[in-house]
Amino acid sequence: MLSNYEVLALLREMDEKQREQAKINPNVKFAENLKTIQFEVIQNLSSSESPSSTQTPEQIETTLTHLKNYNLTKSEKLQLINLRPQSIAELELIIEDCEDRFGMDTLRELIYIIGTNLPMPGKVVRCLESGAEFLDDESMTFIHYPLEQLEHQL
Amino acid sequence: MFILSVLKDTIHIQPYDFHKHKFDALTDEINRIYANKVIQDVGLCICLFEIISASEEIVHYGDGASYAKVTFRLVVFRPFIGEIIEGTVSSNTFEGVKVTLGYFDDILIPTHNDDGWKFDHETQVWVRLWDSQIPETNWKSPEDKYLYMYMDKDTTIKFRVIEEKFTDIGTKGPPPKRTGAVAGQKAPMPSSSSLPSDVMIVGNNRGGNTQNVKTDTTTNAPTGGKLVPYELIGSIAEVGLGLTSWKWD
Repeated sequence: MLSNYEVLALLREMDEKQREQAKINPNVKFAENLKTIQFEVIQNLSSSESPSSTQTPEQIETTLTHLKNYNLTKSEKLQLINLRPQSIAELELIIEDCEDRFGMDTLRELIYIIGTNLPMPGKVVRCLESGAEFLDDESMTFIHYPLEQLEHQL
Repeated sequence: MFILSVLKDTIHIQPYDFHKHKFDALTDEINRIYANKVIQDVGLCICLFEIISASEEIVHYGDGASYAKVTFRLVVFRPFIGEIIEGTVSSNTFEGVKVTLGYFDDILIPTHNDDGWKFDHETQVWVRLWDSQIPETNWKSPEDKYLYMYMDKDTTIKFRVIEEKFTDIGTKGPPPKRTGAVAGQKAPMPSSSSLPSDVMIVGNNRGGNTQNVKTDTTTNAPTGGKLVPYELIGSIAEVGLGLTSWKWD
C-alpha cells in the first residue's frame, strides 16, 4: 500500500523527467492518457485541502515511529497519514472500536502526535491536560500562529 | 487509496524506439498501455512503479518489433472497503449523490437504501437528515426535528467506501497511438490485437481470472443506463462523515 504522499512524489518525479526530456528534444510527445492521469492525480493530491501537499518523508517517518507503540493496523496508520484527523470524532471514523481499544487519553495522545508531526501550516496543536472536565468537547485546542512566525522556525 | 500490483505482460518495442535504453523503452511502452485504464479486479492503473524483471528481447519473423516478457509493478488506485475518502460532489442524480476525485468519477452514494435522505426540489439536490439536538419541546416547526445537510455541487465531502463493483464491458479501442514515429512515417501497429491477451496478475490477485480485459471509458447499456468498468459505492451514514464544512459539535 502506498500513501498519497508517495504517489504524489512519484508523479512529480515523472513530471520532472518529462520536462527535462522536453527541453532536450522539444518535439517529443508523451502518451495522452499518461499525461491526463498524471495531471489529474497531481492536482487532486496537491490541492490545499489535501494533507499530502504539505508532507515530507521525514514527517511521515517520525509519525510512524511514534505510532509503533500503539496497536494500530496498517490500514489505520495509512489513513491517519492520508487524512490527518484533527479531532476525536475524525479519529473514531478511522479506528475501529476505538473506544474499546484505547482510552480517551490515548486518543488525545494520537491527535497530538499527528498534529505535531504532520502539521498544517499555520496551526499548532497543544495537548489538553487529561482530566479537563470543564471543557465540553474533547478535541485538541489549536493555537494559531501566523505563518511568518512559523517560517522563522523552519 | 493506492496500492502496488505486480503484473506480467509481453511488451512490444517498435524499431524506432530501439535507440532508447531498454528499460526506458519498456517504461514508456508500459505507461502508454496501462495509464488511466481499469483492469478488472485490479483497479484503475495510474503509472509504472518499477520493472522487476525483463527477459531478453526476441524479434519475430515478419515483424520488426522486439518482444520482451516483463514483470513489473504498477501504481493502482483501489481503495479498500471501509476506507474514508474525501471527494467533491459532482452531481445529484436519481440514484443518489455522485462524487468525483478528479481522476476518478464513478463514485456513487446511494440515497434509497435508508431513510435519512430527502430530495429538495427547489435546489434539486439531495439532503441528508441528521437528528438535531434540540429537544422536542423547543421545536418551532416540524422541520426542527432534523438538521439538513445539502449536497451542493462542488462541495468537499468525506465518505466511507462500502462496496466496489467491477463490470466487464469490453474494450473501447486500441491504446493511444504510439508517439515515437519517425517524422513523416505512419506508426505501424502490431498485427495482433492491441490487447495483450496474456496479461497475468501475480500476487495481488483477488480471485479474478487470469484473462484480464482493460477498459477505459463508459459504454451505454441496452437499457440506457451507463455501465462503468469500476465503480465505488459510498456512504455517509456515520457521525463525522458528509460535507467537510459541517460542524460536528
